[in-house]
Amino acid sequence: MRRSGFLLALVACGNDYDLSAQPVEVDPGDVLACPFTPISGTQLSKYDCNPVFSGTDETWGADFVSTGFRTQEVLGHPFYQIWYSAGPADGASGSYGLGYAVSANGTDWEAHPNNPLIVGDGGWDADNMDAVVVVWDDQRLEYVLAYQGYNIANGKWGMGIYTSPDGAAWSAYNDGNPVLDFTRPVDGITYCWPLTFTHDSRGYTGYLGGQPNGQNVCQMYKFEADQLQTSFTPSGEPVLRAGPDAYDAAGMASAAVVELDGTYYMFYVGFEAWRSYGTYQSSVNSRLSLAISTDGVRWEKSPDNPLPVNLTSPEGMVSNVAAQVVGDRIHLWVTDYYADLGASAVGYYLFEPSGPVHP
Amino acid sequence: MGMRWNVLVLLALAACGGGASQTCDDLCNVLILQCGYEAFPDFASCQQGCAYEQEQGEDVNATLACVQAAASSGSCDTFAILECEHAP
Repeated sequence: MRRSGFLLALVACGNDYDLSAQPVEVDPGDVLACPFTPISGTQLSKYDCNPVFSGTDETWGADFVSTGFRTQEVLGHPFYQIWYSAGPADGASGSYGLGYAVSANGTDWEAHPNNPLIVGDGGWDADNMDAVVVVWDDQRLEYVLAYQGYNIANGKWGMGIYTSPDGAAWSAYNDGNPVLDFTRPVDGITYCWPLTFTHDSRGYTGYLGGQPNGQNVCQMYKFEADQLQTSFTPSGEPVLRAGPDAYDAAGMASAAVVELDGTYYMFYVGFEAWRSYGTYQSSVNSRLSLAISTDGVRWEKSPDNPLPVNLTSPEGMVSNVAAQVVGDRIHLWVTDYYADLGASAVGYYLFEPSGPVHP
Repeated sequence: MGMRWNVLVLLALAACGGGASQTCDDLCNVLILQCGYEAFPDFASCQQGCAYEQEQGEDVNATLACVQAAASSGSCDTFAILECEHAP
């Protein structure tokens, strides 16, 4: 009798657990002010109130250079983090800073009170912090930020790294020196910029743009490392080659890799050509594309590339893509040029690979 | 004998009240009622996510202490609350 009474008490307690011990699946439409509209002929939907991030009205940086996005789940519900490098409104190089903002719904942002958290201090990366990528390293218990830095006057280009325990207080890694020199070839390839990083139990996988000798393209290469280190040696074999179609004939400028139900999805910004500035060049006509892989090694470009999300046409001005799996959807943040703002800003999209192609 | 039986049941219920559901309720109270975070469609969704994390081995009591500290000043420090998920 005593034992059965005790069991009854435990059963009553257990009901609280049984009620809710399932992963959460949040429909973004339930927590956002605007709906998503399907994009015909795709599995993409576009948030009706884009852009979701166009700045935080801070006085120190009016012109975005680059954005690094991350989703942090709190009790299974997505919160959003963005780190952004920004410079003066006139677009001049130098005087840049790194800002950090967070959002509980992906559309309303709170800027960190200590912004800018990193400011250019001369040296090899005096002119800018571009191609910003941020991951959480759960071995080191800190954020790792990789970027393309450059000093045009001194001809310095490289990949730098900062680390932070909280996303706000950053320390230069490797004594502030680049971990990869973008001006010298490594095994016949001169690297251009970081495209994306991931970190999981196996360590780091990083994707970089790289220019093979004799070819004016910046196509995709990969490195793997079990931990953060002061130099990286990418594999000499391209993960994704530039071309042959026009939309990525000159290479890739940004990428995001996620895995969902055993399939790997790589969203990337492919670009068609270069614009020369004498001693350097930048990408032109850049649009969002997709490659798919079943093993994370061999990738196949989507026959539907480029994906019809670019806001300017015929020349695309997409500069950055970030992706995160939440439930059975892939959330995408695409930085593009918004003509009504006269500036770049971040738009929010959903990709539902298990759903139908929208009519 | 009857006395011992009552104590046993009370102990079991107390353990139940101080377990995941009460901790989760407290967490969700801070995140939804105090901070008003729109990430949570409703209270039940928050409870569900909390119970799932607990079942996966997360220390929701430590998360609660961290979140309460980040919201103790009356205003919610979202930057600090996000880092509660990274606490060792």
